[in-house]
Amino acid sequence: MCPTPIGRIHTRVATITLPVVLGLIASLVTGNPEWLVLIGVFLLLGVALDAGVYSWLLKYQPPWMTGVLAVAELGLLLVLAAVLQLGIQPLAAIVFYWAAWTLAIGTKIALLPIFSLTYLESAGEFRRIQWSIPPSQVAFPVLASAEEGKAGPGPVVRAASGVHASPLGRRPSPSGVHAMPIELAQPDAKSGRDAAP
Amino acid sequence: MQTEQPQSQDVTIGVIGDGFGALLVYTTAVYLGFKPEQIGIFGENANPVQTYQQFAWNLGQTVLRSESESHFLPADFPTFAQLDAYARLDPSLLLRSVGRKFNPGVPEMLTEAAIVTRRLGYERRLVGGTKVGWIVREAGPPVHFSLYDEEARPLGRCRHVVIAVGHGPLAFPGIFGKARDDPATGERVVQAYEPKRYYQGGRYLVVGSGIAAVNEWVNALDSGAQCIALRRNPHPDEQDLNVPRCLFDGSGIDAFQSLSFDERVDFLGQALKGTSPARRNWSERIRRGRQDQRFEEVVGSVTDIRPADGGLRVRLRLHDGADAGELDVTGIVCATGFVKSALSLPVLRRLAQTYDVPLERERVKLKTNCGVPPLDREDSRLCMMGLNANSVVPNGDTIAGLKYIARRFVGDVARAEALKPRSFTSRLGLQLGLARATVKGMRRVKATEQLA
Repeated sequence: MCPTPIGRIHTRVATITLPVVLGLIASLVTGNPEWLVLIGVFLLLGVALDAGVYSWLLKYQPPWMTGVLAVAELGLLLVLAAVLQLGIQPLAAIVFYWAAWTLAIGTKIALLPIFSLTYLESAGEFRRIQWSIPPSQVAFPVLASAEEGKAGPGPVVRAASGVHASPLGRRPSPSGVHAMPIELAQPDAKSGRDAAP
Repeated sequence: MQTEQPQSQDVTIGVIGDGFGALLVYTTAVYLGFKPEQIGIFGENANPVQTYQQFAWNLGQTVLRSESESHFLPADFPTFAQLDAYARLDPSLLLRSVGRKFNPGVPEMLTEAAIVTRRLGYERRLVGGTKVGWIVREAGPPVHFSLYDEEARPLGRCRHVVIAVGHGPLAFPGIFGKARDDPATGERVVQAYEPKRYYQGGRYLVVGSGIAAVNEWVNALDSGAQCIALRRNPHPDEQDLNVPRCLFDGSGIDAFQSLSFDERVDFLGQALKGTSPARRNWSERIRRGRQDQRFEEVVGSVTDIRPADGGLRVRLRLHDGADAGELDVTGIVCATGFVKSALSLPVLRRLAQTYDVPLERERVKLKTNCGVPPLDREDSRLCMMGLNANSVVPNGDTIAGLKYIARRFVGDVARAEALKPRSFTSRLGLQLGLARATVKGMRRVKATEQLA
């Protein structure tokens, strides 16, 4: 899979649902809200890594890499839990982490492809079942640009205006409605007079 | 095969073609909430795997290159490796899948296709039982298409149409085409996808460098023959997919579609130029063949083919321009794929002639939604899938690519028809029901040997 940065964040947020439920249950059972906080820290850590590290480090992510990243994230989570003084025993945190990770990865593998038919082929994003670039959004090869206008008159406009204006010979009107074929009207056009009405 | 729908039919979704693409459009439509009677399969055959099965048999193919999630199940869970592992109670298949070394077996894959076909009632939706020859845009209201057979007899009317007619005819490029057409040499020039037989003591020239060519090298060696592998490209990529991996994902397809039409076609020319996978068992057999002086690779081209006592006499020119002289071979096997020209398919040729469908380099210049201009409209789609659509979806002729297009086409139709979508639980039930039946079916099939 080659997840996009948005796909990584979509997936991270969607897969945290069951771990949140697990954290809630753990907090209620133990009377310690820190389990829920730990899940929150895990989510923030994951989003930060997805946005800032994985997106440019791993363009193509083979399936086995998911396990490697999980181990790395466990290490970082334990450090953060210690820094934030969450008061959870490291061994308990490790067991809790793997339980939460299993729920998250189970959601990702089993539920998300059913929830969103194009989840896997949309690089982990939850997109409407739609084409990558609908015809209505196809870019034109040349676009009008405001930047050029802001820069002021250029040589074409300067030469055509003011006292030094380039002389302009008269031509038939561009409407295309002419009583006489344009070819016949050319001598008149060259002499600067109107074509025959 | 007889159809149960001999009369002209009016349907919401018409599929022109009766192969893998047709089955994938049908399963996706049913999964998203369309009723079977809203879908018509306009083709000859109620068995969507028949053409592929024949090609696979002729090629001696036993496995697919790579896993394509669930293959013919509508959604992507459980994946094919998960189904296979559960059916065989063999977790090693999951490990292979994690390491991208899992090769779905052809018999298992065909079993799944047969189960999905039967359980979702695909066979009953075959309309006409003949090839579509003409597609006619009708102004309506409501706007729709009329379909006619090759004899211009009406087959049915559809609001939306997807053209899934598959590949063009088998390709015999350049001098091989001339030799094939020459009665003196024709019977000794065959395509990899045609029925053929290798004989012990024979010497065969296999042209091409893709997976079909590698298959034929091994088939020739297995029969005790000599094999000369001829390829024009000195450095084919070693890869298990038809196109670079990230092109299977939305991100890759987005990037591909942002190129101009010409750039896309040029890119495909590069990316699809002979990619061959590294397979442990194949490598071993080829290594042994080399040791026994029965296998040799040559980079170059054939400049002359004549009949000879031993079969054919060919003249080879090497990649550097040097003349390698003449050699006698029993036969030539062209693993050179299919004709890619849209004009080689009668229904497309007539469509292009009738409606001024834009063509460039003999390909239909499709819209970015695989729509066929100028006939495609949001409220009445005319879409193309398969090899003819790989200028939009680079892997359009693989199962993954067919699914990609089928899903988006059906999504468009669902929006145009304001379809009430199937609920999550209903989708889950349908998917798991099909998965369960597939696992049962797989257990009745002998496990295919993994090659990677």
